[in-house]
Order: sequence, then C-alpha cells, then structure tokens
Amino acid sequence: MTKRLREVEQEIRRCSRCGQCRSVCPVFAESLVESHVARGKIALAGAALDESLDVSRTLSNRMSLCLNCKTCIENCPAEVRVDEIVLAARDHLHEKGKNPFLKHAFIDNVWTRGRVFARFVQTASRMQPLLFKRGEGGGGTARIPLAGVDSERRIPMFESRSLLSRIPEVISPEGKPRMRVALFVGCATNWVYPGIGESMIRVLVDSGVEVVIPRGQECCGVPMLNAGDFDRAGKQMEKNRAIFAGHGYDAVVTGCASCGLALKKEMEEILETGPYLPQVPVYDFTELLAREIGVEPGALDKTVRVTYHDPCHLNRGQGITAEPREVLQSIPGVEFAEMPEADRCCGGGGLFSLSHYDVALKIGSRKAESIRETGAHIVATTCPACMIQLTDAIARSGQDVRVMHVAELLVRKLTSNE
Amino acid sequence: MLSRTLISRLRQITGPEGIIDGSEDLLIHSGDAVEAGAHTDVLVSPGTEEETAAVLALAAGEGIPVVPRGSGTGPSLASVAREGEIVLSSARMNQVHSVSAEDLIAVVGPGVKLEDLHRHALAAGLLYPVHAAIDRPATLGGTIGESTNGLRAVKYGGTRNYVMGMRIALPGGEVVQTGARTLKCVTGYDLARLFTGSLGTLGVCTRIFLKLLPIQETNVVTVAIFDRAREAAEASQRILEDGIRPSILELMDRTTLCAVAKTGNAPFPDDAGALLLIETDGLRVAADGQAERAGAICHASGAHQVRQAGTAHAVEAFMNARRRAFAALAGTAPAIVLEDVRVPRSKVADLVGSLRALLEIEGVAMAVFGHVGEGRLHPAIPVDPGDSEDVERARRIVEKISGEVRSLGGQLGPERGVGLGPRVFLERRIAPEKMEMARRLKETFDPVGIMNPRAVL
Repeated sequence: MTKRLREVEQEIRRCSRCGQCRSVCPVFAESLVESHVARGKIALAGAALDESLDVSRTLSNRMSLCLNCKTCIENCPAEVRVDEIVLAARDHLHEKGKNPFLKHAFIDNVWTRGRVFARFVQTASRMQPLLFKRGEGGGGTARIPLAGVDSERRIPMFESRSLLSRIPEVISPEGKPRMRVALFVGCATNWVYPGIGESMIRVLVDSGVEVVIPRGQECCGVPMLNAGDFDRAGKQMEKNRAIFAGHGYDAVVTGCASCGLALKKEMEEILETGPYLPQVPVYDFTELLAREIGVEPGALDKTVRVTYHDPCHLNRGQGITAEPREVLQSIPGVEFAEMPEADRCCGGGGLFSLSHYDVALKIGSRKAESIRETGAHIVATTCPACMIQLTDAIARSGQDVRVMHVAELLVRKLTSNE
Repeated sequence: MLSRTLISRLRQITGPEGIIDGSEDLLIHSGDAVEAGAHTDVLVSPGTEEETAAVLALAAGEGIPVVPRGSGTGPSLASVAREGEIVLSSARMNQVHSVSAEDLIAVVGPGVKLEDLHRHALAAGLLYPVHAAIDRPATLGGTIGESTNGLRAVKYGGTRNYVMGMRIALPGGEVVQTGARTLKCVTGYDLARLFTGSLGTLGVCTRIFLKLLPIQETNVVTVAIFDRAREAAEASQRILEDGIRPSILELMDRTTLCAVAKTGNAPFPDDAGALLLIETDGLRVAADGQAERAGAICHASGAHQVRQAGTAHAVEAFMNARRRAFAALAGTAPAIVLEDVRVPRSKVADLVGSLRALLEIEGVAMAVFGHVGEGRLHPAIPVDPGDSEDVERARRIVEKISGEVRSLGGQLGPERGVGLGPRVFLERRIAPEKMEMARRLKETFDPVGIMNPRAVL
C-alpha cells in the first residue's frame, strides 16, 4: 500500500457522501456518471485503500477525470481535501504502474530534463508549421488528419526561442530600483506565450522594479504532481530552489496561476517538504501590481469591451479575484463586462485536455457561451494554461474574441481593426 | 448476480449511453448519503419514458428487483442497492419541459435537480418553495419519492403540497397519468399524492407536474443566539403563537454548532449555546415587520444576541451553516444514528428539554437540530459500530426518545444513520394493520414485487 494514500485515509473517511459536489463538478455536469465526481472518486480511493477494488486502468482513468479545479472543496460542507485524495490515489496508481505509460515516459525522459525538454520543444516548433496551420486568434489546426488530434482543435504553437533565451538575466529600471523581484516564468509562458513574460517585465521595469529572471529555472513540478509522480515533482522543486537561491531578491512573481499556487502552497502542502522558495513572498503578477506597486497604465487606442476569466488556481487556489479585475479596470479604454460564472473552470486542467479532450471541449464550450453573453472583444485571464484552452473553445464557438493575459493588455497598443 | 444476457437486453433498450456495468462506476452508484451499498451488477439510465417502461417490463418479466435512484443524496437508504438488483437512475431524464408563469405550473423530468428547477422558476419570476436542507443536487424524482419537506415547510408545506400530477411507469411496463396540469383535479383517487413519499415502491415517475408560486418580494434572515436549546425552542413556539408566519424556523444546539464550526468559518460566536434561524418573506414591509417582532420575542425569551443578516453573503453563511449540519456531525464520529422526531408544535420545547436531560443522563454527545417550527427535530447520536457497549447505549437512547416522543403525542419517522451498515435499530414504526393495507396496495401496483423491495416506508 502506497504510503501517501494511507496518509489521506482520515480525509477519505471525512466524506459523508452528502453529494453536494454533484451540483458543482464541471466534469460530472457533462457525464452524469457518479465515479467522475468527488464523492465517487473518494469512494474509489477508499476502496483502493482497503483493497476491496482492483487497482486497474479503469480506476486510473476515473482518477484522471479530475481537473483539480477545487470547486468541490469550496462547496463541500466538511471541506474535504479532494485534491489531496485524488493526487494520492494517482500516486498510488503510478506506483502500481497503472497510469498512462506515454505520459510518464515523457515526464521522466523529457519534461523533467531541462536541456532535453528545450531541444524537444525547439524541434517541435520547427515541425509544427508543417503539420499545423496558424489560426486567427492563436494556436494552430492540423493541416492533415493526425491520429488522436481533433481536426478542428486549436493546438498551442511553440516558439522556436524560449523567453529565457531571449532576455538578459537581470533587467534594471532607470535610476535606483524600488524593489528587486525574481520572475518565475513557467513552461507555457516560456515556450508558448513569451509575450506574457516580456509584458510583465516591461510593466515592472517601467514601474521602477528590477527584474531578475534566474537562468536554468525549469517546470514548477505541477504537471508531475498532477500525474501522480510526487518524486519527480519534488525534484523539480529542489532544482528550482537551488537556481533561485543563487540570486538576491525581495519577492518572487509569476504570471501563471498554477505555478503561483505551486510556489505558494500546493507543493508544500502535498509533498510536506517545507516552503518552495523560502524567505520571500510569492506574488501573482496582478497581486503584486495591485497590492505593492500600483500602476498607471497608458490608455488603449480605442475603447474595447473586456471580460475576465478566473483561473481556478488563482481564485480557489490563492483566493485572488479582485486584483486582476482592479488592474484591468485601471486601464483607460477598457470597458469591463463581467461574464456569468466567471469562476467556472474552463476545462483546460493542465494535461487533462490531452487525455480527455471530449470532456474538456464540452466544459470549454460553456465558458465560450458565457464569454459570448458579455459581447466582449477580449477575454483576459492570468493563466497561460487557461489561455490555451480558451483559445480553442472560442475558436470552435466561432467568435471573434482575443484571448490575452492581463499583462499583455497592460502594454498593448490596440490596432485599429480590433 | 445478473446475467450478461440480461444486461445486454437492457443495453438494447437504452443504448450504451444508458448502461453502467463496470465495477469502478457501480461502487458509488449503489449507495446514498448514508450507506455505501454493496456492489450491484448494473445501473440503467433510460433517456425516455418509453425506455423506462421497457426496462420495468423486462425486470418484471424476469422477476428482478429494481431500485430507483435520483442523485443518491438522501439519508433514507431508499436508493441503496444490492447484488442481483437493477439500479434505475433518472440521471438522463433531466429536462425542464416547461415553466408557465400563466398557469403557475412546471413540467419536469424526474432527473431535474432541485437547484435547476429553482433557477428556471426564478427566471420566470416564480418560486418552487421546497428547499431540501442538505442537498441542492437532490432530484425532483428523489424528493417526490421521499416526500421531502425541507427548510421552508413551516410556511409553504412540503413536496406533497406541490405535486399536481405525474406520468408513471408501472412495473409491468404500463404508463399511467395521474392528476393534471390544472390546479384542481380530484376525479378519482389522488394517485399523484399516493406516489409522493412511496420511495419508489410502486412505480417510477417519468414526468412531473408541479405547482409554482409567484416569487416573494423579499426574504429577511434573522439569527438569535441563546444559551440553552430549550430557550430557543420556547422562542420558536412563541413566534408561531404570535401569528408570525416565518418561512424558515430552524434550531441548532450547541453540539451541532460546534461540529459546524469545526468544518470551517462559522458565522456565530464560539460560546453560542443554541441558534435559531428565522426567515420571514413577502412584501418588504411585512417581512421586515415580522422579522422585528420575531427578534423581540427572541430577546424576551432569553436570546443574548439577535441580528439580521444584512447582506446576501451573510444570509448564505447562515444558510450554509444549517445545510452542513448533518455532514458536519457525520464527521465527528465513526457513525451517527439520525432520528426524525415529530411532535405537536406546542410540545417542541418539552421535547428539547427531555432530549437535553437524556443527554446528561447518558453522558453522550448527542446533537439536536432541525425544523423546530414544524415540531420536527433530528437527534443525532454518535456511535462506534465496533464497540458493542456503545451500540447498546445508542439503542437505549433511541428507545427512551421513542418513549418521550409518544408521551408528547408525537411519532418517530424512519430511522436514518451514517456509517452503520445494516440498520441496528430496525423496528416497525408503522402500525401492523396499516402495514397490511400498504402491502395490499403495493400488490395492486406491483404484483411481482420488484419495486424497491427493501425500502422501509
């Protein structure tokens, strides 16, 4: 019996099966199958724990049908930590060799090996244009039928040069810096949306902040944690700790909600290995701006209606909802429109949409309809992983809506056709 | 164990999307909010009335028991299935067919969730006033089977008062319609109400006609904190005697409040001995006026704090505290015996008094909470099923409660519990002659006896 599953036994027993999670789980809303909702997964974890159920690939599939959006926890009368239970069950399944082989082979041999991963993405970035056609609004669709890829799906397109390779390690403002922050970049910003990183750096430097972007930083470890590979997740944390320890700074900032949650508490809570980056506070980019720095952004060229999508890991993960809205509304020219259920998960869920694209698509289409109701031309958010999912969902819904990170909107001069 | 042939015949009726037969998926589909259930062989989820009728005809022909299931969030064990039984889920019959503001009628499938009906009704400026205490995801089919009263029954009555009619698939595969879309329809027996509260023992509803009300202008939530539960119960009686018509009048005692506080942010003080949750609704002036009078009565009855929840957030905090009482208590002990005790409204303070006395004599951390305005309370007794002395003590307490309740002119509802497995205190709570009548009635609808055979009315 895996130690970690035993450690959450008390948490499993705390579920009283009241079923409140049924009314909020985005996955369950699409399937109506009880083993897809928290109550069902907890029962399955309990059965795996007392060995009354075989550890099977079906069990692995059910445990993988969780976005880690934490909506069930927020609505649970006993606040049962469903995330810890599901992750411990995935860890158990991983140890038993029941999780998808390819995913773990990729994690073991590519994603957790910095240089190999960089070479992989560079190669992919060269191959992608041959196989995928860049679409209006971002991402690309397959030029030819590809096994396992939906013909209309917008795939994130990799950049040939990562953010980390484009910029110097330290960028200083004019005059004496008011503070020095370290930027935790994250994989999606580094390889898919380097513009987010460049925008964040520009806003910070323009505000008199010195930004250090430690070289050699790698994936935060969340994809490994979510895949149930706690050991590799822990190793990613150790590598990043060592890299960041070599620099002096007053705070760490990130523009990725999931990286932010990992750095602030998720890895510490689940791996129980002490703070990710000790001694200094970790901020989401919008949190740092709203609480510590304050910006007076330049006006957009024209008025544009903007809505905001709450990433689960910023909202329920970190309790941050007001700050990104405050920053957006401070931009002259932004006409802010709240969407219905702005805090509902977009269905991305990191690697979830790779394994369960059909479910992710349905969840994403609900989000696209919420966005449509606002009449907005731009949906802003604070998580590049959500941006990948939103780009696909919006393109498939036939809307002409741009997906942007709040940081990008802060530095953007809108062109006249937007 | 059901044969593969039977399961494939069921699959032919509903298509593959209507069948669940993997052990991982069936594990949770065989239980409810109280009991995990044993492994069953198949869950069938028809998408239409015709499919439902065909499933029942097949089951009756083969003599296989059928356990109807809504969302499995009830505490009555009515949807707990065993091996060799078919679980019949309403999950895919979840269409809101119509909500008519002109006729004040909603027509829904049995799998529609209460919260979804509430939302649809609200959008039409209407109200379906049944609000189950603990389970927003409860289905209409489930609340009809259970005849749910919920939190607002003190003013609006329960499910029984809103069921106007339904279409029902009977065990032989026949479909009948009872009642109608009209507000009055009493030609012949009122079968719709007979089915309400029948726990799926007679047939399965496939379409439900429900009465709606115009929405109220406002709701005011008042909370009164007392040192003692008896004082709170006395205040509740005085509120009703004063002619106030609260839409919610709920009590939580100290043990309940402590359990709720342990599960997260508690909107009440740490040292609260009891809490009375009062909602008044209607025109603004009436709701405010009644709230003020109810507050004054609470003060006069010994409340040391009375306040109105001024914001929607504060209202939700108190409602949520009440909603999570049962789940919070379930987390405090290996198992909980939950009783459903009803006494005449005028005796509810006496009932609370004797329950508290019992608690002191037995030295057990029994909690008391519930619908004090209806004269209906839930004593919850913590039990360790592995400790025979503990189980024996719980049994003794239940017997004493039963005696107290009868002496007050009340009765015990069906026993409920959490984590006990088979019921340890199973006793017939219906008079034998009434049981015989019920048996004959069931035979008329279900001659083969396949419908939810283990459900205890």
